[in-house]
Amino acid sequence: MPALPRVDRLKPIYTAAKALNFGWRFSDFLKIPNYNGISRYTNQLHRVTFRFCKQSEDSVGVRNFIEERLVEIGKQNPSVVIYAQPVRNTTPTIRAEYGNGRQLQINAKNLSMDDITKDVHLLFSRSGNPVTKLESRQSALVPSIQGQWTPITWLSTAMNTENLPNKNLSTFKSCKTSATEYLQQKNAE
Amino acid sequence: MLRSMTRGIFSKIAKNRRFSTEPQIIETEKVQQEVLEAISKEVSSSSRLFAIVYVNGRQWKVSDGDLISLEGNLPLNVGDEIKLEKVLMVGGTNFSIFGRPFLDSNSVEVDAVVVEKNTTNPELKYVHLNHNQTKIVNWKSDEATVLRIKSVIAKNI
Repeated sequence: MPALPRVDRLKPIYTAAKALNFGWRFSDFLKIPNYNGISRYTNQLHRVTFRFCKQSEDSVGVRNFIEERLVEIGKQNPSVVIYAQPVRNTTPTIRAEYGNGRQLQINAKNLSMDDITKDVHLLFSRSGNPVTKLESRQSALVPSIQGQWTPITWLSTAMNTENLPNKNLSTFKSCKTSATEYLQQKNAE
Repeated sequence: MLRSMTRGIFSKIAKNRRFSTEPQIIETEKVQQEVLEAISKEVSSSSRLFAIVYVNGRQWKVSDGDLISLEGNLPLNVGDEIKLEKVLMVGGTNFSIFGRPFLDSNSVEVDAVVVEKNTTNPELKYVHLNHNQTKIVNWKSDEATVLRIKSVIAKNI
């Protein structure tokens, strides 16, 4: 295993898929690296590298993407370094490196330009943390502000010094009038 | 605003409901004023507040710096700042204010930033039929939008 494992460890093959449900799985709490967004948001993507072949049919989509959309995206995200790297007979890949040192690589073989646009958009909006099963859809800095509720939180302290059982404390209190009370009220009127 | 609303409730309760002990109205106005003054003092002391907001079809209890993960690819870009306006409740260490159902959006501000948009971890569903040469794997994964709550601020209470 490399020192810094890749962001996505899923392999789209059947045996790996079996291990995902029945083997050991990653689960984590919702996290964002570098306290991002607490005071201001900074883009977590630092570098994107497009590896493609100038001739082969597999990298047509990547070539079209580089020709038509890459410059525009580069202008929109001035903080991101973008490399376009022609390599002969290579499998076209898009590799993204994030601020927390992790990297994510997408195999762009035989993908159309629209698919690649979608993938690049995903790379740009990821934070760099691996996709894991979430323990909860929310995470908080402070667990509770008013304190945890217990059954005795709002009980009156009068009970502390009484000798129990006490007739006064053990009557059932309700805002609804009982039949007896209703009749008593009627008689009084 | 709050004052007039609560006055309405009290008068209704006194007329319509029957209590086991006869209800007595004790200087409501004065009590309310005291409570509201105490709350506005608490709020101005810049202690941590929490709010219950309605986003994405459910209620979330949020405070400063919380992360919430919303379902779906929402029409927001990463880095966008949004204001959550459906606030059902605000509370501090010593008080809570409830809306009916919502609080006035001028008096409570919940600001959030879109921090990440990603996909959820795939859930797998297998269909395997014996002696039938049938093996189906469904990878079910959804898109998610992660918000960070920047601040929960209450004022003009």
